[in-house]
Amino acid sequence: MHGLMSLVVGALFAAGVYLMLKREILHVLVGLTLVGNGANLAIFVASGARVAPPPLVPDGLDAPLAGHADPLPQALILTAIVIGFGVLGFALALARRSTETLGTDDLDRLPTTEGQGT
Amino acid sequence: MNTVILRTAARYLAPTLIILSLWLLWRGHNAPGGGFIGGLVAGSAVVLHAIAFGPVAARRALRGSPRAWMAIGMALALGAALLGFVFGETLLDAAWVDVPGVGPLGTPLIFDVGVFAVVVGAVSGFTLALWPEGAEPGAEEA
Amino acid sequence: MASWLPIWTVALLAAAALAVPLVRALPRLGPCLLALVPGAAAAWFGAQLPHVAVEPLAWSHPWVPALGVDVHLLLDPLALAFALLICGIGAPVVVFAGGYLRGKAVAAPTVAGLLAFAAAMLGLVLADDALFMFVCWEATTIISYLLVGLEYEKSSARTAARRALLITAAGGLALLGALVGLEVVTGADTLSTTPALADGAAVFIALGVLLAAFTKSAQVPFHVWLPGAMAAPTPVSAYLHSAAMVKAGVYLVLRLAPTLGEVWLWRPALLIVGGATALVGGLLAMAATDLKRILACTTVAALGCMLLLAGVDHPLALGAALGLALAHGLYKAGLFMVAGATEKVAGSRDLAQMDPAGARMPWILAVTAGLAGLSMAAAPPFFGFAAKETALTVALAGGGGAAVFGALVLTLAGAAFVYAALAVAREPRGASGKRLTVMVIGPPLLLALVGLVAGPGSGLLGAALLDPVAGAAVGLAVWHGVGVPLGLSLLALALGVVGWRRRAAVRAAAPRIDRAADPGWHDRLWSHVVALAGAVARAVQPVALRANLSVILLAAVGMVTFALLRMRPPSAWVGSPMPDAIDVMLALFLLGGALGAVRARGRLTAIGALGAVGIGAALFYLRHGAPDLAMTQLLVEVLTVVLLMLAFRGLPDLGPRRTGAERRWSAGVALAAGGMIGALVYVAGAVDLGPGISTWFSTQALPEGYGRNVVNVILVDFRALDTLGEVVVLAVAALGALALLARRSEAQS
Repeated sequence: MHGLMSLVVGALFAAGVYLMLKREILHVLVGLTLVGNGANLAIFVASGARVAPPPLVPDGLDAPLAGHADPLPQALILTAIVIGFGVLGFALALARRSTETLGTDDLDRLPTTEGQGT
Repeated sequence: MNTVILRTAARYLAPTLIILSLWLLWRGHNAPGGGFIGGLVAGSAVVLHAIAFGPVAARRALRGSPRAWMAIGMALALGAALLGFVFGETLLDAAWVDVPGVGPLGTPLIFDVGVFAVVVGAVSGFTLALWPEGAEPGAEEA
Repeated sequence: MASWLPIWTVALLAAAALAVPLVRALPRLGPCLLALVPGAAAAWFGAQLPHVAVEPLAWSHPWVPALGVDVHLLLDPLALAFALLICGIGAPVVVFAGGYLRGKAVAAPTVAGLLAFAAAMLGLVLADDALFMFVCWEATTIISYLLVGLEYEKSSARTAARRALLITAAGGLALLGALVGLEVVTGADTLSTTPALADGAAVFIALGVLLAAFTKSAQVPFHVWLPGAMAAPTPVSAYLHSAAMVKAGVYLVLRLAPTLGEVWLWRPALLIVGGATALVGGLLAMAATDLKRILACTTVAALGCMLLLAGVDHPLALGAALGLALAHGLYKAGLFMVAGATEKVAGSRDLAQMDPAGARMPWILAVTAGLAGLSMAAAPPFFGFAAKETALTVALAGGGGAAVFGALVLTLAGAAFVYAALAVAREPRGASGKRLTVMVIGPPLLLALVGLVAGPGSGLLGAALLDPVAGAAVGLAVWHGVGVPLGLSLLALALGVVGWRRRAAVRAAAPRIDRAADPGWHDRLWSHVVALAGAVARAVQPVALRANLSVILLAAVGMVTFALLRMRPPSAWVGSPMPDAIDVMLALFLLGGALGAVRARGRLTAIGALGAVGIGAALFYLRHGAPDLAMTQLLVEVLTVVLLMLAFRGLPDLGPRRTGAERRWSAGVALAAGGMIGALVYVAGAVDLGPGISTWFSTQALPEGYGRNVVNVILVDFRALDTLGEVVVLAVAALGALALLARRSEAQS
């Protein structure tokens, strides 16, 4: 199963990178979000995801059911999803401001900053 | 999109989402939910309100600026973290009291409430910041 | 008694911490109160004089017990001499700083920096273990950088601070290497128990130590930082560039001479570099007309004389060098303060800009300048004379070519000192109408008077401080009888006076002298380094995002592929169940979403495809035992779509803009990156890593965290510090978005 999911994660990355190499800011940001989704799934798959009961302690027991899903990657990914959302929000604000100020959403037409390498 | 239907739906849906979010926050320590998920649901309620009634109404419904929500949330989370020095040995040491009839209550729950408030503030902050200038609901449909 | 050693260092640090509010609140009384700390320290160290010569004070304390690292402090005669210099001159300089900079914004930070510097320098001379000494050595470098760059609005101050930092920090690295080598070779815990070394690795250790000393004490060719450091406020120069910072190199050489003195490199290097520095510094001082530059260049020359003496092969050489260091600290700190006071009175500190027919300096300033200047000129019966006579005696006693060379250098440098003393004390003219306060003229007058008293008292002083260091009677005295040293002193005096009378000719040659003495190697090296960095950045970090991203991604692909190819196959591959129909459907759904995003022509299609991928991921999490993740992913996906729609509503959609070649290149990079990640995930998921720490989280969630949802317990309790950080990131991102777009709405309305 994880062979199939490795393929899916690779495809998400490839699609995301392809979009990030475009010139339009919107597509770049969609690509960034795809790569983020791919990264979260990558952690999940690499940590041995399988069909399993969730890491919840049922009433009357002291520990989750045997064979439960690993809680640690879930905690990592949960915050990663929210952080990814935050980064996207900030990037959108930046894109919005730069397109309005500079009049283009084409990354190749943005003026470069002065003083490169001097 | 029909604004009347949307507004009618939002009038009932948004409060339901808020109650749902509080319920998710409360039960989060023992069942799926928690501060992040509750905060996202409450933030969605704000977004829904903004789509239906406009950003000004949403800001009013929020009862405080997004900045204030984030500030209160950070203060709660940091306060809970610092309580670790008072009741425990170091930062973020959890302290619990068993309240009869309610169950154990502890500083991690305060921390989770802080997370909830920050997420609500952040989601509504992004939405209100990115709202197009002068675009009130139904403006482009008219 | 030994437990006082760390207390003085800590007390100076505490005074530094208090200095800014105190000096701001009480601009006059504050510095005087703060000066009591180094003053009391100096008195305490003075009181230890009789005991320490008999038995040094030692104190140690565990520092990093887990690594077996202790702090060792030792007050032996050498440390005591420098401690007296540091604290005894620190106190008047702090008072002077308060008076001289009163009403200026830099006053408080200058006083604070001076006290912090005194703490670091005191730690340096008291340290008896290599690690603590190195830490203090670096602290002096950094505090000096901050002090020289105090007036950072001026580009000259920034350049000077950077130059001083780069040169002295390079020496610090050499010192680190040498000290590590010393520890490895000898295995000694403390410097005082390190045995003498002679060959093998000792050459490299000696080289590192000498490099550190030469950079810190501004020896040729590293002397270029010191004249530039005159951009610092005058009180900083009066302390760092006379008594403290620049003496650290001399101290290091004196401290390690018993260990490294027999290495063949040691004495010749000190003789040659010290001698060259003394001559270059003297020449530069004679060519200069800026009072502070004159003093800085004579400092360079005096440091050269000290190191030259330390290189003389004679049992009393170290004692004689120490004598020069003490005398120099006393008169040079006073002269720097005189230069500051002169600048206040005359309105300038450049002799070339002063009107020769202008008003003379006030008598008290003239007297102070004269007293300190006479000590620098080594006129009897000042302390400077006593130290100089002893130095000449010892240099001559060494015998051979070194004796001739040493005596010649000392005489020529002495002539330059006479010349400089006349220039500083007799030439200034002019009146700006500003008056001198007690806090400005008092400290240099005090130091000058000490220099006068210490001359006749030098016999006592020498017996208490120099003799224990040398291990024999150095014979510091104001009268050595009629002999060659006295003759050379008189010759230096005569040469200096004659030179000063012909100063116009000397100064006319100034541009040539400056160019020869400082060919600008440091600035050229610096500009080459910057140019190289720029070229590298332009090559691997192009301006266009696409090219930049491609470089990063392809580098990552290359490295990961290399690692994967070299990896040994794991002993145990984890079996994975065959995908069932639901797995395949989910996978196809995700693949379809990814493909849709790539193929999308319009924006709505792209956003919709992205939403589909998010929903697919959420379903995948739900099916694999992660309901919290599923809920989070679903909610975030909805909000993401809303934000994307909001952000791009109303902006024109211009369609595809890439050329065919660009598209093919992008596709190649994308496939390489995707393939690399896919392979990585496949291998990582197939390797059995064992149970890890997750079992602990699962079993402890309820008993320790009082929660049945293990993921939430991890988030808010077990790993709450991570969550705290993530919440901060989220809040900062949202605040950033609000700030970015709030400014726009204000500008439009």
